[in-house]
Amino acid sequence: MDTGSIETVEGRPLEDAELVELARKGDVRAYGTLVERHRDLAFRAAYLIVRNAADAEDATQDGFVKAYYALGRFRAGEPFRPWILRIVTNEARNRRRSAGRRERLELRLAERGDREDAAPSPDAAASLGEARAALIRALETLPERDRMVIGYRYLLDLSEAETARALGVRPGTVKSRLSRTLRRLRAALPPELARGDDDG
Amino acid sequence: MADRDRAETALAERLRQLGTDLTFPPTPPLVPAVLERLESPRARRPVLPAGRDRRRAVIAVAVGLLVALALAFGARLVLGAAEIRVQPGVTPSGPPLGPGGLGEPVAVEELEAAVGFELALPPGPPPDEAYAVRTADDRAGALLGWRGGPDHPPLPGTPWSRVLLQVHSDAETITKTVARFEDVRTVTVRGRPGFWIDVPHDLIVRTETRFERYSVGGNVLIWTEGDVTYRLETSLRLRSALALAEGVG
Repeated sequence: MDTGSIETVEGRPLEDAELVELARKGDVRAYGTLVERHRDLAFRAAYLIVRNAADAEDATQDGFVKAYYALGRFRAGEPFRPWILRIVTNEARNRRRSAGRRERLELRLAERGDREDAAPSPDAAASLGEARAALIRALETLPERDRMVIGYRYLLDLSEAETARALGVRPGTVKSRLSRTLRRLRAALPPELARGDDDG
Repeated sequence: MADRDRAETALAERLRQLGTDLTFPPTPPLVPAVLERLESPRARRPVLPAGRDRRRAVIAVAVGLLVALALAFGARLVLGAAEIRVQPGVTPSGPPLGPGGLGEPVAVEELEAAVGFELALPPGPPPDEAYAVRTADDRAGALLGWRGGPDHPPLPGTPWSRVLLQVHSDAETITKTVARFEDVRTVTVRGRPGFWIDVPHDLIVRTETRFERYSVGGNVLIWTEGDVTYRLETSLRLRSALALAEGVG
């Protein structure tokens, strides 16, 4: 099966909107290009909800399949990314609800050896690691709706508008929830981290 | 205040940095699996027509031809998971939509986990009762009730002064039947079309396997936000109901 990306005759990769139009007309390969383009983010978004790779894969795959059949409801001119994230998010939520289990978020920190920054001293590296681990632990204490808004906005680095569309809430709700959740997070962190005087 | 803002900005930045430092499980190669499912002869079907656009068009036509349509039998308006039918001479039947027959109430947090989407609540006190409901396409919805008090008279036949139903569905789960098109007023909620009905009417809530008929004595506002359809029943007048709906979030 050829799953390569689709380009125009000028060799320019097609925009999402152009691919959506092709997919709406039944061009499955164009849809494949959209899947390839957005699968990383969609999978990570699902993983933040279901918290295990197998369920995240199923939710993402189901989300993309359902989205294809729902392309008729996609509003022309809207960005595709938050739309597909919304569908995958709903799939992941339904899957987690069906599974009825609570798993801890197993997020691991990447090795920092391949970063271009100057290597920190062993003590500083340990301190950085502890700070991040404390942050992950604090995230774990949040209610799901707050953890999701933080996860989408900061961990996945979506804009506020995209976060709102993906979660199906108003931008104002994202803004107020972020503010409230940052306060809660600060309260759950050790004082030196909550004050913001840590550089990690 | 400035210290707090600074600390929150620093925390936000630290979270962003955490996002770049995290290792998620490797993303599986989804394209072959998705395309295989889309190309399977059993699964293949044409992409659906633009349902939302079609609904918008239906609403626009309905608004423009309201008077003419008032004469029509069997005409209907559709908004999200709600449809409104006009049936001259219809009289409301069935019990009022109250706690009886809705099963066991659940906590709002539990309900939110069950429905799979974020419940939107109006400002003010939390609901006194919350129930899970099913939709016509077997998805989950939520019904929230606020008890009446001296300032908020209960709706006829119920202990509630406000009922907010929210369903995440495209299937027509809520059917309301009114006697005349003039009974339905088009309004705007958050810049999107909505309907206001302030006369007694019939309500049918449809699930995949059955439907329940209720008589409605309160005023009803229907609107949509994203994929969710909202139905607010209240003793409030239109202006207050619209203000309440604007604050739902």
